[in-house]
Amino acid sequence: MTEPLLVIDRVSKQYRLPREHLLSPAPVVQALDDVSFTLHAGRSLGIVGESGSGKSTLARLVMALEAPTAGRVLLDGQDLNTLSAAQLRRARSQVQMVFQDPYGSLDPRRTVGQTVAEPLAVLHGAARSEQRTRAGEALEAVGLRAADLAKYPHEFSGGQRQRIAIARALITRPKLIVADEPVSALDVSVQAQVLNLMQDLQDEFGVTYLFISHDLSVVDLVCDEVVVLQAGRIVEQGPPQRLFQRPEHPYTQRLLAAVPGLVPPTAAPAGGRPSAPVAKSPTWAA
Amino acid sequence: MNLLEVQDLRVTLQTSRGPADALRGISFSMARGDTVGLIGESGCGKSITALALMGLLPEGAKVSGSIRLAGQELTSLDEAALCALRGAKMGMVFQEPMTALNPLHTIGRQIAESLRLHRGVSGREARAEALRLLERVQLPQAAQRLDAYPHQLSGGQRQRVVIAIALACGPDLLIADEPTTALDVTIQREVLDLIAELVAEDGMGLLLISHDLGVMAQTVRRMLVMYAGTVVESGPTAEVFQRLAHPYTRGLFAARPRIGLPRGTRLSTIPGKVPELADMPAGCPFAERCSQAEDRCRTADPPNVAVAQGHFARCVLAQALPAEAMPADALPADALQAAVA
Repeated sequence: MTEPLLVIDRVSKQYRLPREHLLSPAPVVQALDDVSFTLHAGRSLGIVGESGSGKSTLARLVMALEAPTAGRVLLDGQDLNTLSAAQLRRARSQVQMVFQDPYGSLDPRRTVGQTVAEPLAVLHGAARSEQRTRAGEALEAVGLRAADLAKYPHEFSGGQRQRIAIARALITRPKLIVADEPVSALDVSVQAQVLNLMQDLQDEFGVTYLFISHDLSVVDLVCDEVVVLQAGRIVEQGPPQRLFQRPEHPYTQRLLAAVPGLVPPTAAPAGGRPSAPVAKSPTWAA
Repeated sequence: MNLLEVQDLRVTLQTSRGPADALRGISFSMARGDTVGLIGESGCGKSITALALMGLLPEGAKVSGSIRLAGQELTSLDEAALCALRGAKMGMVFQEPMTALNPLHTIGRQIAESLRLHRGVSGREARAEALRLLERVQLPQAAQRLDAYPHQLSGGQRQRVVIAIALACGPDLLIADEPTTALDVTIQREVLDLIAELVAEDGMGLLLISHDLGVMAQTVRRMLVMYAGTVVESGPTAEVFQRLAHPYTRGLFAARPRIGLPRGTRLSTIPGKVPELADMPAGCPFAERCSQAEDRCRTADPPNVAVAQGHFARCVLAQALPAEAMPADALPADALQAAVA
């Protein structure tokens, strides 16, 4: 077996909260607790869990936007937190991110061309003409036109903006794309287009996805492996076929049971169904 | 008398590109205790429908047609009269429980506000009632939470508070606009169950707006599928799900990822995009994206065909149920739509 592209090795992350009393120690929230998994090139790994389960903290650690409190994050065998600033900059060109909100993640005052080419300008200092060609190619790869480079984000729909965000992520030809809820702000029909595009790009360019989502059916569709996080801990892990057909952990079972099915109540009025148990919030330790 | 009668409701909004027809003649009715869902994608007019009912349309909006709540015409009311109705007869639950609450006031005070305004009760009575409401929406430790501020509650708890505010004066109609979109799936289930339970207990009408077919399936008995400011299909939820009489409804279903699809399956998509409201094509608004569209679709508005009892589809290809198969006495309020079309 080849070496994995991404190794998360016993990673923990704590955040210190504001002090509640003058003399007591500041409370700490354990956002991630002893999390380990690996991701091989060309594969997709899904992270599912509810708000506060640590999904986005994990994304920030993989992007090296934050350092773990304990454990290591290895990209291509390099520990991201021991690299020098210059090495980190080079390593970062291998990882790009796609955010949830295509309205918030594009600068409204910059043209699509400037936005899409920015990672190239920052990471490689590429020449203007090369930036322009590559930005045009990236737009075409996501199904937009090179002529769209001169337009501004407000001229595009939500689905098109998410394509622009994906084009920006693709332009450095990264090995890994971290997608944090990339389709949850989109309408059903547009969501289908973006999911299809992400899969096409994987077939074409061999991109690896770390795919964060609260939507189990989306993860089931695009991922080879799924990690279920609850309050910062991995409670279950495995291929989606097994995880979603025969979930073993009660939390996974509860998540699955809460997915609204497409079977409407035939005659009886809705309601009166026993509620699902209250989900656990993150553990707070003093 | 029906609780709510909407007839040929049209709303024109002023936009930077000129007037845009956001609602182009929608009609439906609901009785007390009815649960009706509006489903569709961004810009189809489902939220505008809710705002029109509440009299909260943006400035410059032109409304025509009729909205009758328990027999009272709402479109001609002035702001003062609408203020007396909003919160008292109609309650609304918004999508974002984070922004729907005032961060500077305790939740007890925010629930008491509408009670004091509409019922003129004393501060003490309003507080007691607020506590009862918080218990009704099953907020844990309700008594201690009366004096809590919104930031001290989780998203699901805040949405319970918003529901308590909507229910405070015992409205006849509860309008919920994407009430669970901002919540986690397990919390979503709890909040939907709570809404369904409260609606059944009080016998009020529920108008639920959502883009999520699954949410519709588990919460409402009747649904209207909206596209580009029109209702393209309407009927009992189970019936609509089973028959999928309109091509757009079929497209929505097919585009939805489902657990159990093999890894790498490409979802079927609806080609093209929603037409601009400011320059709507003639004929069926879905024709440009419809694989079965014919020439006649692009020239004349499609008829609203009764495909089954109480089930209508606005499509030339919909198979009409023979008139003799339709029991005349059972023609429901939806038949109004056919008359309008």
